[in-house]
Amino acid sequence: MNRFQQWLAQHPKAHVALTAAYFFAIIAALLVMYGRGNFETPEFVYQDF
Amino acid sequence: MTRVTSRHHLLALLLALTGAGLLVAVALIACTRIESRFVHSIATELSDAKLQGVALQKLAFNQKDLLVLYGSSELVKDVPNRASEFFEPYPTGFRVFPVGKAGTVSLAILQKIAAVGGDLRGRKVALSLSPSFFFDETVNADYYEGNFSALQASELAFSGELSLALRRDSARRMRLYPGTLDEHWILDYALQRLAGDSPADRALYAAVWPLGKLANAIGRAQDHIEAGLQISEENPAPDTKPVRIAGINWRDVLKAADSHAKKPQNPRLTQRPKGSRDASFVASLTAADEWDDLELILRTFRELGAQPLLLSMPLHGPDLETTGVSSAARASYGARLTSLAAKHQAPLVYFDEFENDPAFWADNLDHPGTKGWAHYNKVLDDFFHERTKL
Repeated sequence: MNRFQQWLAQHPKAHVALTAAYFFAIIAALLVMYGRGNFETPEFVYQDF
Repeated sequence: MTRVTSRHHLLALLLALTGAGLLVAVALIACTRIESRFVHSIATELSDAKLQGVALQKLAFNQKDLLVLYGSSELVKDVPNRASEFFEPYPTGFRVFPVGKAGTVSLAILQKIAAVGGDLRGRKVALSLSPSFFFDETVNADYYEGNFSALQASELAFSGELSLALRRDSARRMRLYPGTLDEHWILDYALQRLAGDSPADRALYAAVWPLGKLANAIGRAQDHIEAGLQISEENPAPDTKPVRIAGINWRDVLKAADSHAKKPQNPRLTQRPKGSRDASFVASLTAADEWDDLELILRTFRELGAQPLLLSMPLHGPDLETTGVSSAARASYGARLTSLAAKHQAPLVYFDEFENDPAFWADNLDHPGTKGWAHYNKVLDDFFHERTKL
């Protein structure tokens, strides 16, 4: 166990906060990557304006 | 030393989910405020968020000084006097909010209107019809697919404001274009069940209802974010509605449009004997699916309690005459349209008196020109201000 892990073990509230931040980053990244809807339509050739 | 347990991880997950939920809520509130602030500024635009989404259309119906006009390519064609530009400076106190682009057939418009739902109640709405869509028995799949919105379709499929019969009839039409449903299994499944309409189908539709509503809720959130982001990227100028409404002298506008309109030359069409194509023209017109879709729109207007106005361009008389479609055959369009509008008590303005007036048009397609739009605008203005009983 390195020093950081020892520190985390001694400070459970900080461990929870850092874990929450880690989870939040993952969820936020997923939302940004896949959360936006697709409102585009296929291109098609219509009348010659 | 305290041991970190799975309870700590669960607590961290709950905190992260709460934070993400708050982030989404804040983003939604911010985007909704942007929409409200700039809905007038972007009224004349034809962005994907506006055409394929729901939020901006709903918002437009809740503005006293916006008139939503559904249509197709005529809304895009750059022509002087086009309604969106003509009414942009609020000449009589309102602005036109066009919704549509090339190939927006009635089945696509139906879904846009159904998706607006209860926000249509008691609201005025104008619908511009392109006669050429009624000349073919089947709707052009490219046109429909090019205007399809999964969110709008799903709002129709899981609408709590439309009757089951209307959703069933709409589903039967929508299922004829399976390519649009490939990546939307909840929607596809719901439409299958609606179209089937057996007791088992209804039970299964009820079972999938919560999933559909959840998908719609996610879609609406995405729609708000998309609209907010798109408006932010464009950074439009704030709306500048004049304090004093100038008013319009319609006699002058129509006179000016008459004098400035260029008379386009007729294209080189294959000359056919008079009336030689009457039978095939009337047969196609009679069997056109577009009528069924237009009727679904009219039923939707009635069920949602909207105040609609239908505007139909005239047919291209000289072109059709040259290609063997006589005036008697052409009259079938107007007769059917008038009958359908009367059946659903929808006011109709059919500009058939311009059928042989090339100056009405911008080209040989369903695109009004300067003169055509001037007449459209006069009708829209009268409709908005309830000057004449249509």
